[in-house]
Amino acid sequence: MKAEEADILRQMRANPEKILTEFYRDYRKEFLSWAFKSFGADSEAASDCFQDAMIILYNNVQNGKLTDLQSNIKTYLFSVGKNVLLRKFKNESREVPMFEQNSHERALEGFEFPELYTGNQLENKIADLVQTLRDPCKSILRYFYFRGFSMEEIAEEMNYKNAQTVKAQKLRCIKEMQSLVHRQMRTAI
Amino acid sequence: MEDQLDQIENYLSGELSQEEAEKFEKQILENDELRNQVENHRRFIKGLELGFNRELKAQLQQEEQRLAGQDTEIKRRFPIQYYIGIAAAVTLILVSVFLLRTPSLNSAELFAAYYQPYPNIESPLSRDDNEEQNAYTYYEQGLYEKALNLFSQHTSENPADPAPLFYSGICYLELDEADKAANLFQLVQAMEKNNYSKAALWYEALASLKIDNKPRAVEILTGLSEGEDSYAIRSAELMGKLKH
Repeated sequence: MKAEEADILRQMRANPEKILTEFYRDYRKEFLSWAFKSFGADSEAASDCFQDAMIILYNNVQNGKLTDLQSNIKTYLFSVGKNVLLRKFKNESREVPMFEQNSHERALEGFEFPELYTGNQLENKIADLVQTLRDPCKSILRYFYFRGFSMEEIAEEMNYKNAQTVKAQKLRCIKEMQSLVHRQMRTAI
Repeated sequence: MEDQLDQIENYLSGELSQEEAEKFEKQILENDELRNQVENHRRFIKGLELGFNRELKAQLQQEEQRLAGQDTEIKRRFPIQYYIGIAAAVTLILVSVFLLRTPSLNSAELFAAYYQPYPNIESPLSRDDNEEQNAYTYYEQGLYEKALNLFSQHTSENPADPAPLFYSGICYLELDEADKAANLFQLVQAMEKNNYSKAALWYEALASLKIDNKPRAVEILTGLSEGEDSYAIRSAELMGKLKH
């Protein structure tokens, strides 16, 4: 992997929101135009798929599945985007129009589609609750479970006395969320 | 509770040693309550990931709205680009008319001008080791004979699946056996309406051109050109050149 790509992956771990928004800004137009030319995809479908491709990229960096980029980041994003687009077409039983052969066509080796936004009833309930979470719980849970920070790193980032204090606070947050979920599930029944 | 949670998290994130993990799995098997706790925590973590993914998606959608708004603003402020676009379209039409009046290409040349292998939409992602996957891998690599063998096997096992028949048709086109390709595309069309019904018509038209069966090509292209999709545009264009 080139030093430049390794640096991008490092930056993405450190400041994902900023980096992803920058990538989106830099490559969106080209992806939309390519998706239209190659698949006849309208800008709404293409931008939706490109956003999913960005999130898959991010998830794969965070969970350690993507540690070594064989190609550059743009090629990777376009390849993931193509797969997301093809899956969308297939799910909607849309025929794939003729498309021009091009450099972004390379399919990904062993690529799997993760479920990005919905799960089973309990998972969805927890996902809904994320939107209503407040700090410090939201930041602690995000740093720990979504960005893979250690307790020490969270303590430093959020100015806690030490890792033990963060750990205790995290446990309180989990208990609070769990009791909320149980209350809501009971009400729903 | 804290120690228990630590152990569950370490287990779920794969941070336990093999020995520790095996020991923990044994406990899980013997203890229903622990098993529930592990499962619930796994779902809890998954739920958090989904929630944070949704937030990230909302952030990117917001960025999309902002950028799409900018695009519209640019178009509004620089309408001249539209006029340039219209002028380009008119020029294109005039050039097309001119080209249509020039001596026409023969069927084989038209085939070459319009033919492209169909993209693999069946298994673009995984590369498992089963035979159906291998067929598509060979197909993508341009190893059409190998792909064809595996597609045939798959068809004999699943005669109702249109995909291997359709891709076999493309393989035959690539191998210069357009008559066999045309037969297979007809079989796909005869099946219940599927993802490949229309594509099979288009490719049968191309195969017919290749074997110089112009009447059949025109018949198919006439039907396709009545639609409202990319096939309609191409079919009308190709038919114009054929009739000339």
